[in-house]
Amino acid sequence: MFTRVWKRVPLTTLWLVFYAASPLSGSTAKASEHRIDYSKVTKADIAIVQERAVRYVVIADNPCLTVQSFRLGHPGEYHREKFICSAGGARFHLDFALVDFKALHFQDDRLDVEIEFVPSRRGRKAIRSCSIALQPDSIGDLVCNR
Amino acid sequence: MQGIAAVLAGLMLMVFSAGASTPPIDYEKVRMAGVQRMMGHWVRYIMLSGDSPCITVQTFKSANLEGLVRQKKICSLGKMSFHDDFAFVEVRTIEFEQDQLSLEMVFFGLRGGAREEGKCSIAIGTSSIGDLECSLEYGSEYH
Repeated sequence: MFTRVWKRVPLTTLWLVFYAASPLSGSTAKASEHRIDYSKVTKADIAIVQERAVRYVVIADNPCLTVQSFRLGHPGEYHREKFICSAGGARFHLDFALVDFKALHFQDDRLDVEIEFVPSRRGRKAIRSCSIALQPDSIGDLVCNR
Repeated sequence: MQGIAAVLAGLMLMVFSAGASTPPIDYEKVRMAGVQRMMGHWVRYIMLSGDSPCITVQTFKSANLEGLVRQKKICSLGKMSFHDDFAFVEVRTIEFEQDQLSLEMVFFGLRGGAREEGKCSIAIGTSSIGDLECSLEYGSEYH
């Protein structure tokens, strides 16, 4: 079936479908301090951005947003992996009662994220438009509009 | 005594054979997932890389995805298998609606590069997960 597919489907789409056919578990991601329980994934998507396949993963009961990039043609190997657990010095697990990644959209050079921050002490919850720059060799920090 | 042993052996065989027919989900290969509360449960859809475009729909008791209530792996449209009856099947979007998942899908036929795209849905009931149903652009309807 796959040989038929190669002729008819855009390569990028195919790559996204098969990028991790070889086990990601074989990667050398330093996951000891940020162990990801993928069985609790609540949001995930993947797209090709800046010549890399980029995936985001949101996990239940985990305040961090995980962003991973893979080299095209090297399925199953993380190129970069970033755990985004803070914004502008405020730590998600300490400084907020809830951080909800409400909507995530890939753009040509970044990942746009709409986040609801619920403060752990007094204060109003706020919805912010944020983004993470994506370059071939780097995953940027989370930057939010005021 | 022998009868009890035979019954136990039969039960174990059933358990092990059931386990063999439904391999565990390799969640680390997730490429598309979403969760929302609907119809009294937390509903998650999940698609994996290297899994053709099969769509697994699960319902859970709690928001932290504990207490799996129901699970269905959808790999066909009517009697047509994603693996065997199409060259390629692409799921472009999946959205939650009040009582169903709404999908935009593209089906590439096996011969002549035929391609059909359209809106599809998977009904979510209080005690059931429906099949994939599509109305495609050339008027084909599969149930």
